[in-house]
Amino acid sequence: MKQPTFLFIVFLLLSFPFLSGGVEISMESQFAISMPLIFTVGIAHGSVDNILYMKKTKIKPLGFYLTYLFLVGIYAATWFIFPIFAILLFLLISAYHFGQSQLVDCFRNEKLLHKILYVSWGIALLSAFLNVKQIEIVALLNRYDDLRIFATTFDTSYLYYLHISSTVTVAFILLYLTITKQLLSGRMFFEFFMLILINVSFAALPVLLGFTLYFTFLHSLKVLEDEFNFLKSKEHLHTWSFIKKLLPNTLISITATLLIFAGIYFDYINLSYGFVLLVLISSTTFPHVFVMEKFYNSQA
Amino acid sequence: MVLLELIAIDGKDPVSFTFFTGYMAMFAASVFFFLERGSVDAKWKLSLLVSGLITGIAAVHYYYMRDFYASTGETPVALRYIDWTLTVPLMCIEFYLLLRPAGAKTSFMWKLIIASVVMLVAGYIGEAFTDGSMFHSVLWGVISTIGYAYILYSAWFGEAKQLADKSNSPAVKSGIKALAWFVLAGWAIYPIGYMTMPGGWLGPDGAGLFAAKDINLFYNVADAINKIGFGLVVYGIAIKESTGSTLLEKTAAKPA
Repeated sequence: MKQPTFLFIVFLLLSFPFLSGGVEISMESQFAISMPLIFTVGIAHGSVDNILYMKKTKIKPLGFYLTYLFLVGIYAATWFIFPIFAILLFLLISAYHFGQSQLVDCFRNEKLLHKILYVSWGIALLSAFLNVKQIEIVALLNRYDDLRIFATTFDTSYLYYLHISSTVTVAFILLYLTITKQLLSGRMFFEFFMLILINVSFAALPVLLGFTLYFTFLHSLKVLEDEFNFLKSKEHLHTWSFIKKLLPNTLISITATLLIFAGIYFDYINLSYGFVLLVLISSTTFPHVFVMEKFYNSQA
Repeated sequence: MVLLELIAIDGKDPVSFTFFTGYMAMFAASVFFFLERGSVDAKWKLSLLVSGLITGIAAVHYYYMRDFYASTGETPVALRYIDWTLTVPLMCIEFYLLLRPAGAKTSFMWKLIIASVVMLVAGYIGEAFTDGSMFHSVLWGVISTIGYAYILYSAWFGEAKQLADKSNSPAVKSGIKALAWFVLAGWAIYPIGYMTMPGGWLGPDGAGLFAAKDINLFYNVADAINKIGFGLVVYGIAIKESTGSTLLEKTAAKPA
């Protein structure tokens, strides 16, 4: 077990007394707890993409930044032209990215089956979230005019079948890899245990807090740990110098987001906060997934 | 009268059923651990004695809890916590005894015992003295969880883990890892049970999946897994360290 996983478990355990006490947490309070975590740890885990990619390839800084921003722009534009396609593609690439970050250290040489496992694991995770919190998510999307279009996308019984089938697929692949000695049995049981815990956290916690707990600790902190270990192997690095590397792009991203939010607040931008947040997160996730693919592949 | 109540145990009531089976399983496990002390080296006898004491103390409490529940239909909160107050620190002592050859100091044992006492006393106050308020339940639940998190940290990353890594014995290393799993997965059943209390997420006021009395079901199952399982892991280490092979390996090696 890695330390981010331990933190995930401890925070989940700490939430149990609140759940046993029947504490109601409003959506505003959930935003107040979730946003600082997503804006710090969440954004930070993608803020050394430039350093990672340039260490893995011979690309020049200007070339990297132009390509990165081009991909961000393309994806942002897609939201306004093909919104349903944009959200579905976002979920699919996120599924792969989540699965990869969770399981990449299981395998030395990646094969197609491993990549199928990553996607299946990510779909199992996201469909679990969308399925068990369907009512809250649909209600949340209906709160904003420009997000209402997606409410019908998720208001479907197919999510239940997707949740079950993807979870069973993951279980079978993990079992197969263990039987064929590509995966240690201890790791298989650990992954089963984690899937149960993630499902419990999604079901037990309020919608935003459940996802934030996963995203912050199990995903972002774990990726940050992988990034730290990689950079440490390349240069003399300690925690503070790593934080200094994270700071510039994290601060730029937070400032840009706040400026756009200010634009909405002062009516310069006629979009909802929720829609803008979704566009920003997905647009930065798009190139980030390519960087992480390169990063993890060259690690193997 | 007591005999009549025992005969009248409702087979359809899993809580009642698990109180009875829990009692018998704990009792049988104690007999096993005490008798098997003769099969291990002298340095492991104390560990098996402690394992037998853990299940023995639990068996006695289960004997009383079973009757209490059968005659009142209520949760035996006080008896339960008396049992845990005695047995959980003994489990912490097991960690110390296993890791003593690797250099564990008594301060390590006391830290675990203090954390377990914090976990249990806070849990007891939260459960037994509830005034129905949200604040009471949350406050004591959080304090209890902090005690639990300390033991969890020690088993997975802290002193227990580091001492196990330092140990030359593969049996101790794998045994401590197994015990760490008991602390993580086995002990986590208790806070889930805590959520079936009135006002809790799983209870009648929440998701409605369980009745308030079902807290006993969670606790009984968790006790059986953790106390007997914990003892069996210790027994496995003791046998392996004493004979160089597990009991199963020894049995398999014998000619038919």
